[in-house]
Amino acid sequence: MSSTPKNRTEKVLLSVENLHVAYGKAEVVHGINMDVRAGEFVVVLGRNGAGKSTTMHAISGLVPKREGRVTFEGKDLSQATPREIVQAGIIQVLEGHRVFHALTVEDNILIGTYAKHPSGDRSKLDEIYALFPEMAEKRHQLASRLSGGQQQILAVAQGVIGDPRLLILDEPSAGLAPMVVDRILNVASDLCAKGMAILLVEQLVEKALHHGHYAYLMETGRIAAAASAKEISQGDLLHRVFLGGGEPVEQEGVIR
Amino acid sequence: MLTVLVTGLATGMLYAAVALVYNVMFSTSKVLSVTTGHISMLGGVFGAYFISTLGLNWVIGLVGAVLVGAAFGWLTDVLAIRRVLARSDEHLWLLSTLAMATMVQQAVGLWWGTEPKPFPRLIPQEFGAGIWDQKFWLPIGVAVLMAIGLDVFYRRTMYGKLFLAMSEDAFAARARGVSTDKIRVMSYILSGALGGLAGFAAGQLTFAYFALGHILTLNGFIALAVGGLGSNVGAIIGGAGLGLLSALASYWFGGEYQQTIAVGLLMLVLLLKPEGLLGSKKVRPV
Amino acid sequence: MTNTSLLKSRSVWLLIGAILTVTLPLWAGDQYRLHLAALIAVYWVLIAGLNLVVGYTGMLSIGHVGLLSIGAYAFSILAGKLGMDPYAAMVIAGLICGLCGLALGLPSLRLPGFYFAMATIAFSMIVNEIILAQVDLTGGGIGLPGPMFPVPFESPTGFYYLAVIVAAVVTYLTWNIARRMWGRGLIAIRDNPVTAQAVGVPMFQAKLIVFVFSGITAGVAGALFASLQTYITPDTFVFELSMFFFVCIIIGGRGSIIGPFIGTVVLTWLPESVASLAKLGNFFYGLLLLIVVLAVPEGIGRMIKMIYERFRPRKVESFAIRPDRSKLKDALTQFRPSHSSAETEQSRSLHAASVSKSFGGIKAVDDVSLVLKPGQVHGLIGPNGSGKTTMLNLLSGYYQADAGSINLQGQDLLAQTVQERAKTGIARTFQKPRLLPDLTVLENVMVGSWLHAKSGFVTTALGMPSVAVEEKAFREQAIELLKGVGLEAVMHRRANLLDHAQQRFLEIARGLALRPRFILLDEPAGGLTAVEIENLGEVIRGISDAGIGVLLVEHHTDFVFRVCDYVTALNVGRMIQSGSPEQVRHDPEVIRVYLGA
Repeated sequence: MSSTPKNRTEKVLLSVENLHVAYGKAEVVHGINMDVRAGEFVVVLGRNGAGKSTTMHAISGLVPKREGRVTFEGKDLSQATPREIVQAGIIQVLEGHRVFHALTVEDNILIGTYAKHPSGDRSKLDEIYALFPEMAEKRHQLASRLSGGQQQILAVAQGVIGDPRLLILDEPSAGLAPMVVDRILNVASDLCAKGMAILLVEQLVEKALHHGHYAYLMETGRIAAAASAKEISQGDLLHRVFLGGGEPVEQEGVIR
Repeated sequence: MLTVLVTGLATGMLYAAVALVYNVMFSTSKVLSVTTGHISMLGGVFGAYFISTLGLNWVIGLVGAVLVGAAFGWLTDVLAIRRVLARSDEHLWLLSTLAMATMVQQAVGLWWGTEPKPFPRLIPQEFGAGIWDQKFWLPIGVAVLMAIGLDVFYRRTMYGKLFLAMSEDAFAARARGVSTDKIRVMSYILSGALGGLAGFAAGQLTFAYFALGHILTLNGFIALAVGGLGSNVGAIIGGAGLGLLSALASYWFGGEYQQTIAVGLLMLVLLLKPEGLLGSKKVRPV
Repeated sequence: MTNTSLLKSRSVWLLIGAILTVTLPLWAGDQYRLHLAALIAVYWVLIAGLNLVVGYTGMLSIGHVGLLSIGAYAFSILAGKLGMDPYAAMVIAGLICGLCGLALGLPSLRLPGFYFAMATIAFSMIVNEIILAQVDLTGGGIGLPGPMFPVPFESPTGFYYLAVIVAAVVTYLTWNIARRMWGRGLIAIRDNPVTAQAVGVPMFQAKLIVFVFSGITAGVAGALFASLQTYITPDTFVFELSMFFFVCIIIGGRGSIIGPFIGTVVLTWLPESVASLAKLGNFFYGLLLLIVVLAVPEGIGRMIKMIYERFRPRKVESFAIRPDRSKLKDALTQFRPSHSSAETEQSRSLHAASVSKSFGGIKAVDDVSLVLKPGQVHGLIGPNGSGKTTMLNLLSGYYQADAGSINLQGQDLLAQTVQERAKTGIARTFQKPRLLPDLTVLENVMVGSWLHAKSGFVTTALGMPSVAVEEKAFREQAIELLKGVGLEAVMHRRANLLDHAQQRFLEIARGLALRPRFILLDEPAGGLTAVEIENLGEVIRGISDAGIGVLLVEHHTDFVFRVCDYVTALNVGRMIQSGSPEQVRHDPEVIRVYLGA
């Protein structure tokens, strides 16, 4: 198991152990270990093809695991359905602002409550609109009319209304203007300050490390390094992992 | 002449109803089931069975026909769709639904008989009512009600919106905690109920006939393809157009080339606008 | 080895089958059984042809009873009413049905699966309508008598032999198609149309040719059928008969000739001998079809093979792929198209200039230019959404560029389809390996040689010697290529039994069988271990040694910098730098894009 650095003392919320995920015959995640503590903002970095999204999908039960355990607040969610995982408190915002174009903004947000309230729970709407005022203006518009950035914000609102204790954001920046990205990451930081744990997968390394507490660096399906955000942004490991120049570190550990 | 038009319209609306049923099943499973026409056949046959043979009153007969349709829709999902969708071979569902359609048609033929049997009168009415005969306006009315009902369902109810969400992006729906398997079963049960209702309403027009299944599957499909896959308004237009065209062609050229003309219409539309009159290019029929 | 003993036993079974068939009238018993045997032979004439359409090409054609009836009526009218010689009438009936197959296929074959199936069903209903309506010609509902064949085929025994002879001829023709390049091409269309395109198979034409062929066999079968039944009416040709033909093939198993044949024998004979089944009629066929689809979708033929294989377990030794760079180079240089000394490197290079492509409002590729030189390994890198895969798809023809030009040897590639670009010499691999799972590793590589097969459909069907000669050359080339990439040891294994890395290397070998000028590799390192990536590097260098240009689209930047001669870096669709690996790796813009905000 991992040796935890000194400053991670909060209790473990999410624990991923020895996760292996395969698409057909190709194993793309080779036994990773990862955890998220209560109130922590964890960032997962890595090149494309490193297996970051796949790991997130596996945590949410959207793709089958070949091997490994996922535990959340003490409960073993390894065999749980996506619905059960959402009900347990892990909500994921998928990459690519995947909202439902045929529905209105308000209906899109309400779908986020479906897992816990099968006929939709309107009580939280005001809170969400307060958090995302640009959504309040457009509440009766079809999601197809929104810009890419607005759709991404809608997707986040859709996730947040489900009242998660862990919110997974998969590359929210993809294809968006910097201002929108900042908006989303700021909202995430605010939610984190109020107690929601955040697991952020990102390619925009600098921005991500600015908001994050702790970071995992993934490389070809393995964890190349794990350390506090500050330490990762100060070392040269990033350069090596993204642009090569040596053998990647293949075990989890603290970088010096 | 007017009788011809009304007959054509009524038949066409039955086809339109079948096209609506196709749409509901397709929306959540991306499958076009060969059993679609057979659901309506069952509605007609069982309606006649409950009312004429068992002597029950027509409301019970109606409920019974709808339940039989719903049950068959459910059975289609359980046997032909559920396990097949999990596999990667895209067209296995065509074979499995073809198998089920064949089985149900033959079973009904063996039990009910191969001759068309008359369907009972539902509402007291003189047989000389001409174009106002219920055998015409029942299927027309039901088809229109179905289309309106589905619209309300999709726009106003939570389940309808879940159907839409799932049909657009099933993976994202799952990520939101929607259990897509349950929604799919529901859509098959709903489409079964609707198909049964349509068959029941059109019973006096078509008679209770075991071989109706394939005819409705094919013509309902033509209505669907002409109107555009995924469009309910298109289904109505496609069905009405098909019915009217067939009736007029029969009137002018004799009734021997009905199927030929129907297919001719389909080919024409597909050549000019492959996604159908009101279809969108994004909806891929696979 | 196990292969030859298997072969021996197959020949023995065939011999036994042949003897039984020829001597059948002696041991069958009564006239009724002889009639049944003749019926099986007649059905098989149609089903053998339909098998190529359904079992090999994967087209769900459920309306062949329409073609059967056209053949039967044509024969009865020509030989009966018009008094033509029955043999000539049979041939003409076949040709007429071939034409009808053409008429049905032209508008329908481009339609997606369900639509096509419906079209074939509609066709058979239309044929029925027309037959009923044209009373003067067809006798309408009353029908026509089916003429007899002259001596010696007019007796039941004689007719049986006629049917067997025709069935044997048709079986021979389809067997030839199935086992040669044509068969592989059809299987590619069925199992992986993208692969079929990539190796140059003209999909629509191939489907049409096979469909017309099935029309001809249906017509001939119809003629024989009419003669056997001695009288035909429209009621004889019910939709259920189409279902029956279809079910025989599906149950027998796709990609097999013997499977559907056994299916035909069993399904014709079964309802005749088990009375309760006959009563159930079509219900039984439907049930059988459902069971097969749910339990053994590949058919009982495959199920038998699987049971067979379970009793003779082969040692599945895991082995490491060990490519041989020089062997690969030799294999490639041996078969490469030679170029005249007058051609400069410039003219033999692939030039992409100012290429742009938008999807919706988003520019996926924005004014990108690059040059692929023969024998050079050119890397294309960039973060997510940079447009590198789009660029590869533009070069290989899967996307159409909005602006810019792509030229090779003076040819404007933008005007060329995927198959035409394959012909020009551009091969590619895919992010997820696209293989033909039912074929062996060797056969998968041989598919790559499709464009070099000169034998047409007819030549192949007739079994002309030139076909065997070509086949041998392709086989030898494929073996050499497999030795080069290191997969020789598994060449007779079914492709779906390979692990991921092996599948990747197989796909590369298939691409090389095209004898391309350039091969475009789409993220080949995905899912490979460090050792396998080293081997991949060996293979790539072997390819470039032979003078073939390589485009390597990759996320694994480390690997790209190690193995490439030249690298282009993209970001958000635009080119940000290109040059030697060292140049690009240390370029500040590249670093910023990968690591920065």
